[in-house]
Amino acid sequence: MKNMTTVYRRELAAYFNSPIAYIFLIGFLLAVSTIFFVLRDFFAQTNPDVRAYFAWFPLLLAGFCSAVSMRLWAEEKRAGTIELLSTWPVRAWELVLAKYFAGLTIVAVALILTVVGPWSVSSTTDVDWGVIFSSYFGAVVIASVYMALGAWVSTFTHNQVVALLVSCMISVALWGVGMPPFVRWVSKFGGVEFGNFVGWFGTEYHFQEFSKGLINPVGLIYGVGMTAVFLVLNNLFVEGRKF
Amino acid sequence: MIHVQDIVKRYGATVAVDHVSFDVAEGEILGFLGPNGAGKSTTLKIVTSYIVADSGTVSIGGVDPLTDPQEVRRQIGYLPESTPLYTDMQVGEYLKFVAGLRSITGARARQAIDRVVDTVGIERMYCKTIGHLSKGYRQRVGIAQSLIHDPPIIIMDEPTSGLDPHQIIEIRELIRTLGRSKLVILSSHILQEISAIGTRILIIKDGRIVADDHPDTMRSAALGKTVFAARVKGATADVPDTLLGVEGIQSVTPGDHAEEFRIVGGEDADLGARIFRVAVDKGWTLSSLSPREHSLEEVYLSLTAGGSSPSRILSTSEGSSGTEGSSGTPASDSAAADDSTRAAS
Repeated sequence: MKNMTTVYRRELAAYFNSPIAYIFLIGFLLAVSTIFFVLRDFFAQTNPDVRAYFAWFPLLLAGFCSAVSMRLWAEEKRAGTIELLSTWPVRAWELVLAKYFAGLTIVAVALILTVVGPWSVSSTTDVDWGVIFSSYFGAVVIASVYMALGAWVSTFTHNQVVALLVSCMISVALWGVGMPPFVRWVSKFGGVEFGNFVGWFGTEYHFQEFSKGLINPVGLIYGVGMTAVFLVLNNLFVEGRKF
Repeated sequence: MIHVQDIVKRYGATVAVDHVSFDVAEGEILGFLGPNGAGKSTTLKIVTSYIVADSGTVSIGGVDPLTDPQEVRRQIGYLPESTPLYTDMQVGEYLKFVAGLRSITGARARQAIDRVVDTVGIERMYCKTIGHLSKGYRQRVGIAQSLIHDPPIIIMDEPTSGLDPHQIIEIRELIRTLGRSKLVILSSHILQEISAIGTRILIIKDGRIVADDHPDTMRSAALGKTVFAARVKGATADVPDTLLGVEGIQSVTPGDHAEEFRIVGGEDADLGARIFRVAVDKGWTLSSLSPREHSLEEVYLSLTAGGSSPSRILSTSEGSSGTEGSSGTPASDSAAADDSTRAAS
């Protein structure tokens, strides 16, 4: 546990030691705000719906989490520091968890910054803070899945750009399979049951429930389960490097 | 303390390490020498538990890295090739981080950091960002990191590569000091490096150990030859032929200086006396006659080049130009100076 905290703090510092973290955070905030206030024509609406603010979170988080996670292992491999990291008395799973939590912390910071959106809406009209809370909860759940996925992908390569592109592609696909049009399209071939089964793996599928104000245990199980699968894969890949 | 038995490591069709075995005891400085790609780094990576051998066993202080890697890692301080560091961190911050991972915290961490900072001489760099340091200082930070837990075993992969001559001398001095109380393994493709510091040399080629001995023994005995440099004042053309007629002399070649001859014989205690007698008989003025040892370079080249052509083994000048180019340091000059001092004494 102490090792994990030490590595976690170092990882977090690495984000803020370079301008990268700030650029990503500002970029995410800009993207979220632009979509809501400009593209969605917020100022022209008489009765704005705060739910629209979160509508694009699953896709935006796919990109953002990939950007944050790309360096986690790829940079260690590029710089060769993985060799020292793996010969200090630290267990692989401690490294895997520490890196994952550090990445997730950056996402949490980004999400906290976006509270400015609902807050400004609340100054003009009544908002349902319950929906806002459950939406943020859902955002953290799917961000966790994206982060674990991105961290695992980052072990494939020593090139951060490759890690970014690959995890972006998989993350967007993971978002897409949960989109209602995709689920309907699959249902046409394999039946509704099969369509729902495929859709279940999509982040959008669960986020929709959260954004309605429901904290569905199934969504939580999905988040924890998928995160665990990717973290176990991550650990296997880090350990497997030895052979 | 370190026991390596029959380790093999393959990468696809390439055999990087091919049945390597060796033991190292406390107080030894083992120099791992070999051309680039000979399997030095791979062997060290196996010993440090970074990678796992396909077969064979390793034991570090009685512990197998496979069953208890954490314990092995606690005993070893490791400096990987090309000194990977977190360039975004400050030196002090980095050493504190490493101390933390070594379970050294609080006042003990401060003491440990002060000690290593002092040992490697980076006090002035303490608050600098590692990325802004010169190569020499980065190397020292890498060494400091490997010493922070005062390990009984230190393993350094090419610790002086890319440093300037002053830095090389300083790092060598540091390694020599460390070797007094610890087991040190260092690798290098530069012979002078290893012969200057190592108390034992292990030469590896194509993943196999081709020589394992003390530098001095290796120098004199590896080829089973006795070598003399004789200077004959006003030497005439018949000197080489006459010398070749002497019992036990195998070859006579021009030496490094004018009127000097390099005389090579088998293992023979009386060779010097016989050369002297011939000179007296022929009325030559022998201005000097000194025994020369084969330079390690010759041994190294003959072992690693595969061939052992006499010109390679016997001509010093050819040998040194070969490795001097790759090392790019004046170290071979100092090695040559060493040779002459030895010859004179």
